[in-house]
Amino acid sequence: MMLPRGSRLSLAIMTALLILLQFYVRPRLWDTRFAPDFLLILLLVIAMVTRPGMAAIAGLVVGLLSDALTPVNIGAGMLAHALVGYLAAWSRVVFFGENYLVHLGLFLGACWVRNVLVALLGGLGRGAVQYEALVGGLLQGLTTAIAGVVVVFVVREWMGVRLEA
Amino acid sequence: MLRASDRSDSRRDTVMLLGCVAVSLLFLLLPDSAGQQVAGALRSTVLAPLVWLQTEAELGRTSRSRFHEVTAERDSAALAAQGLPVLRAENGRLRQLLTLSRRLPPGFVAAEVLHQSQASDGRMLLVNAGQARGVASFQPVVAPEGLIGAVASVGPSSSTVMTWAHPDFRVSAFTEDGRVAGVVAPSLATTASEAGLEFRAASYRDTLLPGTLVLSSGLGGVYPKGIPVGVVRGVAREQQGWERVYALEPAARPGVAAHVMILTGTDSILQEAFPGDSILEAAREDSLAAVARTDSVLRVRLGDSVKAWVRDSIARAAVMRDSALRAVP
Repeated sequence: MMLPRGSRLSLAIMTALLILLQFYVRPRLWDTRFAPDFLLILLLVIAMVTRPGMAAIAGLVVGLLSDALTPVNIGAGMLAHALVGYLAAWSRVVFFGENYLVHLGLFLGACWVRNVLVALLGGLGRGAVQYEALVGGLLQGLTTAIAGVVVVFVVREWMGVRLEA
Repeated sequence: MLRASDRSDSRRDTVMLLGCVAVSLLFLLLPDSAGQQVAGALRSTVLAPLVWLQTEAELGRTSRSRFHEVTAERDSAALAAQGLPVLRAENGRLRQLLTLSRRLPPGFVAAEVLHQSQASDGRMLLVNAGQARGVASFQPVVAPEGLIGAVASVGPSSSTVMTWAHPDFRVSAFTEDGRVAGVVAPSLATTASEAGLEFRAASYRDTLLPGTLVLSSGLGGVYPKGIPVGVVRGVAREQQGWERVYALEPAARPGVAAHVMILTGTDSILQEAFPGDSILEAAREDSLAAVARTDSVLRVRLGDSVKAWVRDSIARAAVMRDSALRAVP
C-alpha cells in the first residue's frame, strides 16, 4: 500500500521525532533497560499504515540499526524486528475493532516477542530468555505500550490510524 | 472470497517477508568478524549522527544527576592524594631495593556508555570514544568499581566493548592474598544485564571463603594486574574431586554502568613494571651482594684488627724497651 504524499511527509516528521526521542530523550530517562523503545513504536506505527511486506522491510532496517549498535549477534535483531513488523501489520486485518486497549496490547506483545526472539536468536542463553519472558520483556513492553498509545493518539490524524472510542 | 489483486498483494508480502528472513539469516550466519565490520561501517557512517546525539544526551544526564557524586569523589580523591607523594617516594625506594623498574601510571580515556534498548545490551556496550582518542582493540575497560571488559572493535569516534557477561570473556585472576589462581568466566545461567561470574580452575584442595576478593593477575597481556573482578559468593559446583568452581559477585555491572575508563598502553606497563622473574632475580642479586658486602666488611674489620694489634704490639714493645733502657743505670 502506497501512502499519500501528505502521509509520507507526516511519516518522515514522525520518524525524525521518534529517532530524536530514542537517542536524545530515552538516555535521560530512568533505568534504560526498561525505558520505552521508540524505534519499536516507529516500526509498529509504520505497520499500522502499510502492508505486511513493507512492515517487514521496515523491521529489517530497524533491526539492522539496533544490531549495529549492540553487535553481539548481528542478524538476530533484524529477524526479530522483521517478524514483529510483519505480524503487527498482519494482525491489523484480524483486529477490526482498533481501539486504545488493542493498541496497548499490540505494543506490549510486540515488545515482548521482540525481546524474547532477540534473546533466543542471539544465543543469550536460557537464563536470558527466561528473564526477558518473565521480567525484562514485560516491563519494557509495558512502558513501550504506554508511550506507544500516546504516540498513536498524537499522530492518528496525520497517519490515518483507525481508532474507535 | 479474495480478489485477484488481494491475492497478488498477499503473495508479494509473503515474498518480501521471506526475503527479509533470508537476509537476516545471512547476517546471522556471517562470521563474527564480518558482522563487526558491517556494524562498524554503519556506526561510522549512517549511524554517526545518532551516536553523537546519544552521546550528548548521556553527557547531559551525567552532568546533572552525577554532579554531587562526582564532587564527593573528587574531594575524597583530593584527600587521598595528599599522602600520595610520601607513598610514591616509599614505593620508588622499595622498587629500587628490589631492582624493579618504576611503576608507570596507566594512561586512560574516559568514555560514556551509550546503552541500547536491545536485550543484548549488557554483553556488548557502545562507548563514545574511538580511534581519534587513542582507543584500540583489546584495551581493558574498567569502571570505578572494577573490571567491565575489553574493547572489541573501534570506530573513528565510538567503540564496542565486550563485557564480562559475553560468553567469550575470560580473564586470568588470583585471590587478593595471592594464594589461589584461576580463570574467571561468565556463568551462562543468568541474564545478560544481571549475569554472574565464575572463578574456575581453582584446585580442589584450595578453599575460598565467601567475601574473598578476586583480582586480575596480569597474565595474558590484555588486563593489567590488580583490577577487582569480583567477590566470592560461594561454591558454584565441584568437578570430579579435582576442581572447585566458585560463584563470584561481579565488582562492576555493565548493564548499569554509565561511565567507564579505557586503559591505554597497558602492554608496555606490564612488560616494564612486571618483568618475568624480576623479583626472584632481584632477591638473588641482593643476597649475593649482601654476602659480598659482609665478606668485605669482615675483611676490612679483620684487616683493621690485625693492623691495630700490630700497632699496639709495636707500641707496647717500644714502651717496654724504653722502660728497660730507663731501668738500666
